[in-house]
Amino acid sequence: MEQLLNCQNLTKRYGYKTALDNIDLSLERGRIIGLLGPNGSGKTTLIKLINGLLAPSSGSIAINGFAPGPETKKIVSYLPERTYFNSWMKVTDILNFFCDFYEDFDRNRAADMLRRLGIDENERLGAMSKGTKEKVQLIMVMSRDAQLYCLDEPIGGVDPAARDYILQTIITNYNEHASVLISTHLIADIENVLDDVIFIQNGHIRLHASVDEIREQEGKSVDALFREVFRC
Amino acid sequence: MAWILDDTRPIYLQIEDLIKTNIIAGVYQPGQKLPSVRDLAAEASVNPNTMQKALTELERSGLVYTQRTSGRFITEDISKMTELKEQLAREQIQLFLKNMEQLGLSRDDIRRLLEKEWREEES
Amino acid sequence: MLGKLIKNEFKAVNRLMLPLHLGLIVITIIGRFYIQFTVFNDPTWYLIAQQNVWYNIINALLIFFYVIALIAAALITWIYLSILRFRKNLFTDEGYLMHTLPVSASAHIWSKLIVSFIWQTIDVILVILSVFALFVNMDILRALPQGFAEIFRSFPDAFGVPAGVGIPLYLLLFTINSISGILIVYMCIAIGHSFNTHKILASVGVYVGMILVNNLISMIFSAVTGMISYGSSSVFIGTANNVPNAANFWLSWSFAMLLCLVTAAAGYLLSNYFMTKRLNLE
Repeated sequence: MEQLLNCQNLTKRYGYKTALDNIDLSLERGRIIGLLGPNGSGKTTLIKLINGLLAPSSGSIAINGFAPGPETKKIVSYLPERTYFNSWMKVTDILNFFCDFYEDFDRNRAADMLRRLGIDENERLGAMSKGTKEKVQLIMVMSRDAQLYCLDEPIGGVDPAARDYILQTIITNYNEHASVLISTHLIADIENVLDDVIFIQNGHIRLHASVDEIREQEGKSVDALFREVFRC
Repeated sequence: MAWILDDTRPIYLQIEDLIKTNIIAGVYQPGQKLPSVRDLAAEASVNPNTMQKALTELERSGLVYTQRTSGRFITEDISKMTELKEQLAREQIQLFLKNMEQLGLSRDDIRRLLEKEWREEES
Repeated sequence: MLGKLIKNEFKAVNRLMLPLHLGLIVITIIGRFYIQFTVFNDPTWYLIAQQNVWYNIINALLIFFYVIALIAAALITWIYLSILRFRKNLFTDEGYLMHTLPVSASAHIWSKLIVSFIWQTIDVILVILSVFALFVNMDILRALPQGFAEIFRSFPDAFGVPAGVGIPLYLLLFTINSISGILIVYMCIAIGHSFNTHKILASVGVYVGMILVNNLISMIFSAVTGMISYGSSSVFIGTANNVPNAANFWLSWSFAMLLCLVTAAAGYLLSNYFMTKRLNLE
C-alpha cells in the first residue's frame, strides 16, 4: 500500500520567517503519533500544510500519493486548534453538514458519542461552553472513517476529565488502517497512548522514534527526554 | 481508570507485568476470556498497539493463548501459573534482600526481624 | 457536491436575507396603506398639506426613511453577499471547515456566486416592485401600456436598434456586469488573504487597483471613439455625435460586454488560483 504521508524537502516561509525548514517525513498506517514541540516550533504549520490550508513555499506533501486537494480531504480528518462552527448552528445542523460532505462520516457513531456525553442534538452551539463545543468538534472529527486524523492541540486547555475523555475517544476509534497525528506540548498527558513521537523545533525535526525505543534506549520517559532536548 | 504506569520502562513491559499480577491475584481466572485488545487498551488508557504487544509477549510465555475465532484466554495450565507465581515471588525477594543489604543487615538479622514481624502479626 | 454547497449556502445566508427582504415588504405594505388613506383616498390632503407644516415634515421624514430603507436593503445585500459572507466563510475560522471539505475551490466560488447572484437579483426586483407598489394607482396602471409602447417606439431613435433587440441585450449586459462585479470582489479577497499580514488592507488595495485599471481602459476607449460613458465604468452606454446610432450601440455594447467577460474570467481564474495554490489561512 502507498505510504500514508510523505513530505519531501518541505519548507514553509512567512515573509522572512521560516516556519518549516526543508523537512522530510513519512508516516505509516496504524500508528498514533505525537507531534511534539514547544510553541511556535512549526507543529500547526505542518498540520495546516497537510490539510491544504497553507501552500508550501517549496517541497512536496503526498497523502496516499496525492498532493493536498479534494482527493486527500476525503481521507484526512482534521481538528484545528480553534472552533470553526457558527454559533447559530444546532448540533443536528452540524451532523447534517458532515453527512452531506463526508462519505465516511458515521452518523450513528457520532449520535452515540453525543448521547453518552449528554449533549442534546437540538442544542445551539452558541449556548454551549467552550469545552462542550470542543468536544462536539472532536466527536465530528473522530466519527469519520478517515485514514489520517490530524488533531491540533486537542488536549490544550481542557480539564483532566475532558482530557481523559479525548484520549479514550482516540483509543476506542483506533483502527489499523488509519493513523492519528496529535500535536501537543503536554507530553506526559498523552505519552501512554502514543506509538511514535516526532520532536520538532524551530521548523526542524529533531527526532522521529517509537516510544518503546526511547524508553528502552534512554531508560527514561519521552517527557523526560523532551525536557532534556528542549532545555531552555 | 487508567492503569498506573511508571516512566522508565517500555509501557508494554509494564502492561505485561500488570496482567501477570492480575492472573496470580485471581482477577483473571484460569480459562477466563480476556476482553478485546481495544477494550483492554481503553481500560488501561494506552495505545492498542502497545496492548497488542504486551499480549503477544504473554502468549509467548504461555500464560495466555489465542483461539482463532473466539479470542484470547488465560491459560488453564496450573503448573504455568505456579511457575509464574514463584518467578514473581523470587523477583520480589531478590529486591527485598538487596534493599536489606543496603541497610547493612546480615542474613541472621533479616531472619530475626522477619520472625519478629510474623509473631507480631499473629498476635 | 456543488448542489450541497449551494443548499448549505442558502441555509446560511437566508438567515439574514429572508428577514431583510420580509422587512422591505412589510415597510412597503405599511407605506402603501399610509399613502392610500392620506393621499389617494383623501381629496383634502392637498389642503392639509398647505396649511399644516408638521404634516409635511412628517411625510418628508417618512419618505426619507423609506428611501434609506431601500438603499440599506440593497447595500446590505450587496456588502453581505459579495464581501462579508465570502470572506468570513472562507478566510476566517470557518475557512478551517470549508477548506477541509473534499470540494474544489471552483465549487466554492460557484456556489457563493450563484447564491449571491440569485439573492441580488431578488433584491433588485423587490426594490423595483416596492417603489411601484407604493405609488401605483389606477391612473398609472391605465397609463402603463401607453408608456411601454412609447418606450418601444422611441427606442430605435435613441439607440439605433429595435427595443426587442436592445432591451434583452442590455439586460444581458447588466447581468454579466453584476456577475463580474461579484467575481472581482472575490478575486480581491482571495488575493488579499494570501498576504501574511494586513489581509483586509491588501484586499482593498487590489480592489482600488482593479477599479483604476478598469476606468483607464474605459477612458482610453472614450478617447479613441469619442464616446462619453454614462454607465458604470464597465457597463458602457456611450453616445457620440459623429457615429450612426446603430454602430454606436453595437460598438459600445460589444466593448462593454467584452470588458465584463474579461473581468469576470479574470476574477474567476485568479480567485481559483489564489484559493488553491496560494491559500494562507491564519
